[in-house]
Amino acid sequence: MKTLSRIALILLAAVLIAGATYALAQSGWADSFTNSVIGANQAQMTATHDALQAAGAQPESHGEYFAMAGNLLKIALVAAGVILLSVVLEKRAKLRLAV
Amino acid sequence: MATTRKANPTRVNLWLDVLMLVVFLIVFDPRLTGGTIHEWLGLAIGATVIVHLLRHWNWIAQVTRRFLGRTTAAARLNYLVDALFFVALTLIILSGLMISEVVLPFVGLSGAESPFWHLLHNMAANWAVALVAIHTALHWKWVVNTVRRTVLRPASVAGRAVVGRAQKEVTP
Repeated sequence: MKTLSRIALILLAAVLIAGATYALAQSGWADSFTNSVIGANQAQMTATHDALQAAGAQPESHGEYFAMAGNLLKIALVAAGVILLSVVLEKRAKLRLAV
Repeated sequence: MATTRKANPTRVNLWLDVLMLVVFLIVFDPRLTGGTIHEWLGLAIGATVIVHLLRHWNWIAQVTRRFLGRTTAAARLNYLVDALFFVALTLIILSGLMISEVVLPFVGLSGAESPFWHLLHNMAANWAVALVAIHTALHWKWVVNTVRRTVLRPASVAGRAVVGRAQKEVTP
């Protein structure tokens, strides 16, 4: 029973987020936001598309090529950055305590 | 009489987290899996997130109660990152369902045509990659310690525990 009520709470939180987003998607703001992002990236997307087509590769339609390797690299880099930052902050805190 | 060995919960958490990370990486490569696997596995991630949250429920409940009161800055940061990660995953699943070509038609429904959902799906996925990295980094010490204790040297740690207990019994 405890587990079921916890699952219900998690799903309720998800439904609230989804409901708010759905309402936002129906508004005019979603259209203008989409158009502005597409407009800002149009040149780069066209260039990537043309470069892939020129190289004989299928232009991207279902995600990027080598997405897994790219994501792993991104995760490793961001995680390394956060760990490094926490080590530096920890050392600084220790030094401050020592003074 | 057969005896049942109770699984070490920390070890179970570790393997569940490793499984989630692997599935996460696979789901985030739709070109590798194809659309069908991408969509079903994406929904499965939702189920594993629920299991993950249930296994850490006590911590979530504790920090929720104390968030504005007495708790550590690290706990607050963890909580915020986890909350943002939950929002990102919810948005990925919602937008994924809205642009679904397999799951929704399977249940007799159809999604939306708006490019907003495609954009949201990509943006939330990019945020989720960054957040999973931060989430992992914030738990890095736990990961290292747990791997050391339960995977690399489980026998020696267990042995030390037995020796420690024996020493406690001997010393007054």
